Amino acid sequence: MKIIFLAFFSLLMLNCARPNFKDMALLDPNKKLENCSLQFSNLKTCLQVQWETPPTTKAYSSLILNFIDAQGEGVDLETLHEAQLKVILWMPSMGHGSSPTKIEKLASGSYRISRIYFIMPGDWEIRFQLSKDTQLLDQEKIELILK
Amino acid sequence: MKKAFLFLILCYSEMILAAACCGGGSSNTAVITNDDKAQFSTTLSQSQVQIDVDSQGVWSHRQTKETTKTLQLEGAMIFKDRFQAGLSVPVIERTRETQSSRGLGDSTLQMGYEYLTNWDYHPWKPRAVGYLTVVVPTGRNINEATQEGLDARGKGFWSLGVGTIFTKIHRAWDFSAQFDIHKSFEKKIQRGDESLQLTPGQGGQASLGAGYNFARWRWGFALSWIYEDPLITEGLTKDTSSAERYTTATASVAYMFKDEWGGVLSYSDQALFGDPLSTTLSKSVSLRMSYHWFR
Repeated sequence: MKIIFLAFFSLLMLNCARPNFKDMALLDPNKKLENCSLQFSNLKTCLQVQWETPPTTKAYSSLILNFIDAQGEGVDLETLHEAQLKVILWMPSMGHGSSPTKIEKLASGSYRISRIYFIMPGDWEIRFQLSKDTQLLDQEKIELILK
Repeated sequence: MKKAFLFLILCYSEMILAAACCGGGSSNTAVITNDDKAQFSTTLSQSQVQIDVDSQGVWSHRQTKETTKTLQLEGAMIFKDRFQAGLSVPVIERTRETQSSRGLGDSTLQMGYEYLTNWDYHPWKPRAVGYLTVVVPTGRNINEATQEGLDARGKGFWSLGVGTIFTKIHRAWDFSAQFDIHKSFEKKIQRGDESLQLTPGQGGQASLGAGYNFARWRWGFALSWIYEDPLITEGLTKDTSSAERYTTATASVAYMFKDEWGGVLSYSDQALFGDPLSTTLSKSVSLRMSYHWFR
C-alpha cells in the first residue's frame, strides 16, 4: 500500500504544471502596413490596411482596405481581375476561425470590413483572399497576437 | 463493505467532463462498475476559462469572462449478465461577457463488458470493464459556429472509441484507472460560400484516481490527461492546427444519502498539472446526483 501511495504521489509531483506566462503585446498592424507591405504578387496589386476600430477580444472591430496599383490608383477587383474579396479570421494554432466578416464596398478598390470578432486571445491571422469561383487567385495575411 | 459500495457508486463522478478549447471537450462515459442493474445521474457544472495556452506552450491570463454551464444527463443499464449500455447527453450554455448561447453538446452512446470480475474478492486483481463509445455530433464544431463561436458546444465529429476502467478497493481506500482512445471522422461543412473539409485525427485520455472512504463519506482525487491530434482544415487553403493536450485535476467529496442515492461535489482545475498545449485552461465546480437500481 505504501508503494502505491508513493508512486501516486511521485506521479503527481512529476506532473506539476510549469506555467510559462508571457505578456503578449498587441502588435500594431498599422505600423507594419503603412508602406503598403501587403503585395498581391499574382495580381500585381498593393493593399493598404487601416484599422477603423482597433482589434480586441471584447467587441467588433473594423478595417478599411484600399487596393491600389503602382501609380497609387484604386484597383477595381471585380472588373479588372473578376476577383471576389474574402476576409477570413483564422487562428492557426487552434485550427478554427471566427464568424464571417461583413464586406462593404466604399469605392473602386476601397472596402470597409466590419463584424471582425476575435473570439479568444492568442495568435490570429487576418487573411485577405482574392478568388474567382472556387479558385484562389492570391492571398495575403496580417498576423496579430491579441491579449 | 459499505465503503466499497460507496466508492463504486461515486468514484467516477471525479472524471468529469473537461472543457477544452472552444466548446469541445472529452467525451464522458457512463459505465457501471459495481453490482447495479442500472444507474442514472445528473451533473450540473460551471466552469470559467482562466488561461489560454498557445502552440508554443506560452500561457496568458484570460481577460474576458467566459463561462460554461453544463447539465449532463447520464444513464447506464446491464442488459445481459456482464454486458451494459449507456448514454450521456449534455446541455451546454456558454456565456462570454453578456452574450450567451445554449443547446446540446456532443452525446455519447456506449456498450460495455465486464471482462475482469471480482466475484472471488481477490486481494490484488482489479475489476475491469471494457467499453466501446460512439460520439454523436449533436454539438457544433467551432468552425460551424455562427454566434462568434459561442454556439460551439462540442467537437462536432462522429467518433468511435474504445476504453477500459480498472477499479480496486483496499480497506478504506479505493483506486481507479481509466484509459481510452478514439478516432474522429472527417466532415464537410459550409462556411459562407466556402465549402470546408474538416479532418480530425485520433485522441486519447488516461485517468488515475484514488479515494478515502469513511462512514457515508468519500474524499477523492483524480488526474486526467487528454490529448487530441491536430485538425486539418481544407477549403481554398489547407491548414493544420497544433495538437491539443491538457491535464485536469479533480478533488471531490461524496456523500451517500440512502443506499440508492448519492451526491458528489467536485472542483476541477486544469492549470495545476501537465504541460498543456493549444488549449484553454478552466476551473470548474460540479454537483452530481445519482440514483441506482440494484440487481
